[in-house]
Amino acid sequence: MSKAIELSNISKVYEVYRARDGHSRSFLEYFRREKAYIPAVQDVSFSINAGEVVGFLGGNGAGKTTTLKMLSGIVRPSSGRLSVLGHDPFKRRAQFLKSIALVMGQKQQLTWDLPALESFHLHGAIYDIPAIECRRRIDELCAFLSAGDIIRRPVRKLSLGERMKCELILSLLHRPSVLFLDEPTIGLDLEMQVAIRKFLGDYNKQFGATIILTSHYMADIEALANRVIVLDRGRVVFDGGRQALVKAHVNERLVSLRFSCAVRAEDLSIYGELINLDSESAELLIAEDQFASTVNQLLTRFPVTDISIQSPSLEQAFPRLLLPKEHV
Amino acid sequence: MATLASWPGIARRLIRTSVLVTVVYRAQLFVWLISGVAPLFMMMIWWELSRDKLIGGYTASDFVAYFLGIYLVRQLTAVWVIFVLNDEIRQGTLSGRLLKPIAPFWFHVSEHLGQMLVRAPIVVAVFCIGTSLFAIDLASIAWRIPIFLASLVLAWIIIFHIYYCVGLLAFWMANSLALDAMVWSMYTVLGGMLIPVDLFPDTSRYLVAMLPFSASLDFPVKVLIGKVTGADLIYGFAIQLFWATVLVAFRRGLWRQGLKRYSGAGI
Repeated sequence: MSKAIELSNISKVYEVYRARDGHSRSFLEYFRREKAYIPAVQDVSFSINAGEVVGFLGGNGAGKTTTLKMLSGIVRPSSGRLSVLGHDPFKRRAQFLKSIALVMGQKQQLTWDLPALESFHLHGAIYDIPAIECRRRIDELCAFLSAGDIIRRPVRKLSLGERMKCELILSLLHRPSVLFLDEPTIGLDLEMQVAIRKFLGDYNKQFGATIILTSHYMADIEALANRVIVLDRGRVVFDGGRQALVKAHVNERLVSLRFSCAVRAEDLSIYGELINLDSESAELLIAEDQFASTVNQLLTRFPVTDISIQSPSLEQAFPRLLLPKEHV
Repeated sequence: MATLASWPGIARRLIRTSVLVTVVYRAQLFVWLISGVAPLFMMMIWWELSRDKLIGGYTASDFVAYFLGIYLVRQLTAVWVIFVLNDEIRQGTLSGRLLKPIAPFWFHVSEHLGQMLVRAPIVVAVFCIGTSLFAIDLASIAWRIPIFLASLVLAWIIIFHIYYCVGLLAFWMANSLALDAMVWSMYTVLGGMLIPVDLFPDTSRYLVAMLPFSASLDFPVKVLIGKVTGADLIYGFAIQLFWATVLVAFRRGLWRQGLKRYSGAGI
């Protein structure tokens, strides 16, 4: 399979001015400012195949957005080699820019005061899409996202979710083969999140697009990406399958039990780590390797009326990868 | 960037967008019209002073024509790109424009041209009313319009690029707007908005006439009212072309260097 994206020892260092405390020191800053160099991304290397969907995970300031900015040609890397569809992104050649799209959940590319439809037609002209074809794609994307007549209302009158739909339509109008998504579902309600995830999954399948997705919602990553790259303080700390990440870091399952009468904490705690105990319900963390036998014992020894078992999830695995054990 | 064949379609769409946005802000249009009348006050002062005498070769009627011309040129070459660039660079909204396969510069140009299309008829109407009120011979101005338009386009390129370059300094400075007042005061004084450049003392007049500020304001006005002819006309155009070329090259260099420092802060 051909490589869509290749990064080799990419680093990005931002130059900032350090603020000083106190009035006199602040006054001195007027004459002499102290520079600081912040390494946002350090020695990052990975490659992504065409058509792959990859989740970018990391806490705030981990370097996810900076990496996306470098991949989309907005920011120049301080060092290293970078190739997207065979192009150096920072050269911002038209052919490259016509093949990519960056959707930023918190920034918009639509003209604020006009209906989104105006932005779509402008986008069509800029990306050399014939007018008839442009109209056809707008209709098709509107139908996919159930956008209805929202594209005819001024953008400033739209809700966050409606704006996000319009952003997606705009970004996909030129059918990019590489799609960078930075927090595409941020601030959206659950229904809208599910709709957008489904839409992105369909887009990937229909056009074989390569997608890199950052999100603080693990459900986004679980729904779309089989591979995850985890960044921590600018470095790649994990690159592999989503399931492998979960398996490597979560070795117990959460079991929720409901009883017909009250049970004692000391009776339950011998089967696993007791997370929660109410009068007639409890939550237990049970080791993966003894899971089947332990559940069996619980069912026979306690008056269980209901049981639910949570599979190990990315939500559990991700913090364990980044934080020391005692904080998890 | 975009293919040559697709440029007319892109330009039409870009300008249409700008026109539509301008129409949304109708109130702003009237505020702008009122705020641009300073040259008309200067006109009244100079008209009063020169009613029964010649000042620096200008009659009262010349002063009226000159300052009406200043109003016209100033309004038709109004530039606000420094505010746009300063915001886009500082707040990271330039990133969205960097993703497009045409240079952000053309977005900024079209925003100005689109707004001008809406403003121009109003400004021209004010100019025509002014000339008829003071009995200025419009017919003599009319035949100079083609050459005036050439000088107006060059004037716009010069002033747009001066402000564009200052705006691009936001790549290096925390806030490039600090320089706006400096450029504005030089443009006002050296461009002839208060005193026609012809009335400057001999020693400074030649120097001032060579600067981009007079090339972008005083010169096109003098072309319009017929105060510059023959060799002086060719010299004036040469100065305009020189500054337009230098500033375009300077803007391109600043853009290339500045972009290397851009961090897309805020996204």
